[in-house]
Amino acid sequence: MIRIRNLSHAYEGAGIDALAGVDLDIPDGARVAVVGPNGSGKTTLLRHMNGLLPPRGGEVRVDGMSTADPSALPGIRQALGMVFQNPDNQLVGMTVEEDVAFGPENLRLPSREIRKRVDRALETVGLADFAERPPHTLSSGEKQLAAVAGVLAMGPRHIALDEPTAYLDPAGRRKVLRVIDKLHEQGISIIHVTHDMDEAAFAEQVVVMDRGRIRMQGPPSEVFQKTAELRDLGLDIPVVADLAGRLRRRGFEIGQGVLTLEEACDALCALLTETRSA
Amino acid sequence: MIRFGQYLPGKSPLHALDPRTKTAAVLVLSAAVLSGGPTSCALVSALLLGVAVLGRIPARELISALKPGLFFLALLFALHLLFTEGTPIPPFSGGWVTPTFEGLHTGALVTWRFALLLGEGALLTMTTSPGRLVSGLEWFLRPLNALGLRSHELALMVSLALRFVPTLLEEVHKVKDAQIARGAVFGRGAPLRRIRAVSRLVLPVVLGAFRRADDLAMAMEARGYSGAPRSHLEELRITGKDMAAGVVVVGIAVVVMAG
Repeated sequence: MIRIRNLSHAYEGAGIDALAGVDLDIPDGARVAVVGPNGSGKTTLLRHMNGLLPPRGGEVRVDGMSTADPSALPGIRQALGMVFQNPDNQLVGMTVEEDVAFGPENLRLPSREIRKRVDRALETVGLADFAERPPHTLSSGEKQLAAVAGVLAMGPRHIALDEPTAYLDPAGRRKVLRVIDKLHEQGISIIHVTHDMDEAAFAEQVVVMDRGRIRMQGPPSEVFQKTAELRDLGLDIPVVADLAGRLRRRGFEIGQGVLTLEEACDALCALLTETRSA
Repeated sequence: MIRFGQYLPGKSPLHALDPRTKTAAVLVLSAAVLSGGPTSCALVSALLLGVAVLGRIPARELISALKPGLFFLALLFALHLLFTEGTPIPPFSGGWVTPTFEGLHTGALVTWRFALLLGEGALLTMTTSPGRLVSGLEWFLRPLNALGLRSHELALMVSLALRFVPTLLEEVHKVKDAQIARGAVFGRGAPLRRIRAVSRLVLPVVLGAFRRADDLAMAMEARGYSGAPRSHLEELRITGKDMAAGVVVVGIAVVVMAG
């Protein structure tokens, strides 16, 4: 459980507040997408979640541990793993397995336990055959999967990802998203910052940020109905939601909850069968 | 790319040896080679060939690993051949430089010695993963902890530097391409112009490296790094094989230095 209360943050020298009184609860096992224009505070919010930034005002608690308490930081970083945007700049090992071992090594686990965790994490993300490869020989997608494995090896209950697919090609993106699905199924809470509304559509909750505040929050089927407000913030809505809305305005009966391709296909098939039989 | 002595993953007995054993062996053998004559060089050559076979290193790989050193070796040989005082080799006498028999002799020996040093180094790095090599380095630096140095931090610094060499090289290429696309010219024109072109490359790459370092520091912190000593995926362990290897190497060194 991540509990954020009245969190504020100002970067030195910046005129405006990066975060201005954010309240957010993320229950265990939830899947939350955080969207918003550049500079809206998404990344700052994420960095507060595992204590990379100390709170200037308000409070962040991860499983009861406060990020303001330096002695709690090791526990917080074990409980909540972070995956960053640029896959190149977060890999520290000279081989993939040495990189995945970095976190458990910081926990000072015995080498047999580290080996077990490394192998399991690489298995989970599908990089078992890459264990001894140097990171620079991997594709961007594979590097990002290695970064996810490095976080997994810490045994986290929550994983926060900061635009993990921004640098990836479509194939790499698909692989990373599939692994995120899998981790969520295993009960790990996912906090996923993204610019891609189609990715956000897969979350259980969407949090829309703007100028350091949470502007909207709710299930994607609700949030993505507010087309005009989202456009005002400079945001898109998922292509499928857009299409469903346009069809609805032309008088076709399509449910509000249609957000993914799968759902759109079902809804359209139902419509077409109806017209054919009429 | 840097090819010299690149690590060849494998499961040979040589790969399995503790990195400290191998590093120490290289140091001992180097001392032996530098202090010994042709007989000791021959002995060490035979040993290295045996070791290469034991490490299952294909001859082709071994030769290509040594290739970058060939120019240096040739230069070393030529300098000794031409600039050593002594009896001129008949057909060439009388020029402003004269190859001498003494030069031929010392040149051959010195070149042989350096070739062996290169070979030892290549065999070490080809059969030891960079990670294990750095772990070994960390162990050797431990006595300096008494002076306030932190060997585990130093070792991590070395391994991070090695990890980022290819990434930064890639970045240099990208920046260069970006500048060429906007009309920059590299490798042509007057020397001053060339230097200026390169200096325009350095600034963005260095700035980029700082940005990377920032990101990296944050990623390391997020994964629980605090500067405190850490455990290791592979703990170094001296086994019977290491003992045996040590005995062989020290034995040869003693024979060489005594003889």
